[in-house]
Amino acid sequence: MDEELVLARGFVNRQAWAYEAAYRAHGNVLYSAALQVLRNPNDAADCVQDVLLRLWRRGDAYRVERGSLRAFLAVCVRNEALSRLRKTHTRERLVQTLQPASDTGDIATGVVNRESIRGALELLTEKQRETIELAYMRHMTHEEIASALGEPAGTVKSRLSSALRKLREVFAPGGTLDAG
Amino acid sequence: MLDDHIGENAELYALGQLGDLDASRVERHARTCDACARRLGDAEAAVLHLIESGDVASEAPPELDRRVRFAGQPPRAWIAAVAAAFLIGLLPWGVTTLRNPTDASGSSQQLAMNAMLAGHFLHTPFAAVIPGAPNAKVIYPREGGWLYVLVGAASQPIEVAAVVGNQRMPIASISPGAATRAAFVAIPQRVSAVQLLENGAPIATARIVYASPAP
Repeated sequence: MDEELVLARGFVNRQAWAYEAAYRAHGNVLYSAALQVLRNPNDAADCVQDVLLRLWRRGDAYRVERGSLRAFLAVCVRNEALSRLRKTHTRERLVQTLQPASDTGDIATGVVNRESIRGALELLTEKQRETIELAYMRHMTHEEIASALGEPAGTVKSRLSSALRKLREVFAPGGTLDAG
Repeated sequence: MLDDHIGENAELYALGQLGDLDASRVERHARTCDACARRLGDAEAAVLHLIESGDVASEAPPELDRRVRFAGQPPRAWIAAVAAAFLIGLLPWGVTTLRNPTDASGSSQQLAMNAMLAGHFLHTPFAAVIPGAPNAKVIYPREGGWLYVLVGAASQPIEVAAVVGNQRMPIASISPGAATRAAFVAIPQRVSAVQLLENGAPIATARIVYASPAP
């Protein structure tokens, strides 16, 4: 049994060793996920600690069939960070999203600083790329994106879904930047 | 969505686009539907790839490390659980190969039960000597007399040794596995440290400091 599976099962079964082991194995990426959104080290640390402890105590939030524990934890931390950002900084964030990209360059470059990601984004249609960048890099909700682009919310949701599935195909083992 | 498959909400969930109600529905459905769990996992993997492509800290702050470790160790709760397990006979005596040179009759267990119920006992974590050493703790009474060693998931067989004076005495063997293992050893000598060993080499050490002076 590989180490990740042992850890995942320990986490599901709420074994004490798995709590610390999960943090040791994935703490850096969890902290990074929170920091990329919140941009504040203390807020990011609070977010990681709260989410990790909550998920471990619940136990049933994750199941091995879902796939990578690392991806599950990272998305949970990022979603909590987004929720906190939206609750506490709605006005400031909206002002920021309306600024030109160059004014928020640290956020944008922080997200696409690898050639593979830039290449993958190039495989999306222009509309898909624009939408995923607004959602992922600018942390906008699909309602905000719909409003900004003057499109129905349902259209934006479908486009986000198809864009992420396309990215998954490219990122998956065996996927290539030439795919599709 | 309700009882239907989660569909595109898998990707929207992974991108943090769902409100609390829809997110809860996705999580609930994915707990029972393998196909949707896989789709959700695929979406989460794609987002993880985006996260890892951004600014990734080389290490989380030490303060967060300390807080996470502290939050995961409610000592009163687990000590009470160990004591309760003694009382109702749940302790997994069979999971270890116990070599107890001083007491194989069960009175050592009685000693531990009495000490936990009526006396005071201490506990200390093992400090890893090498990276990847399993999490482990030792519980022992303030005045000495026995050791209760708990070892987390281990990939290799582990020997437990007590350091008495200048000598290292093997006292138990822990078999590898994902489950937390336990070993109880009655030992009349004053122990200065307990060590975990792999292939004869120490991988973790716990220092034993008794609260009462040696008789």
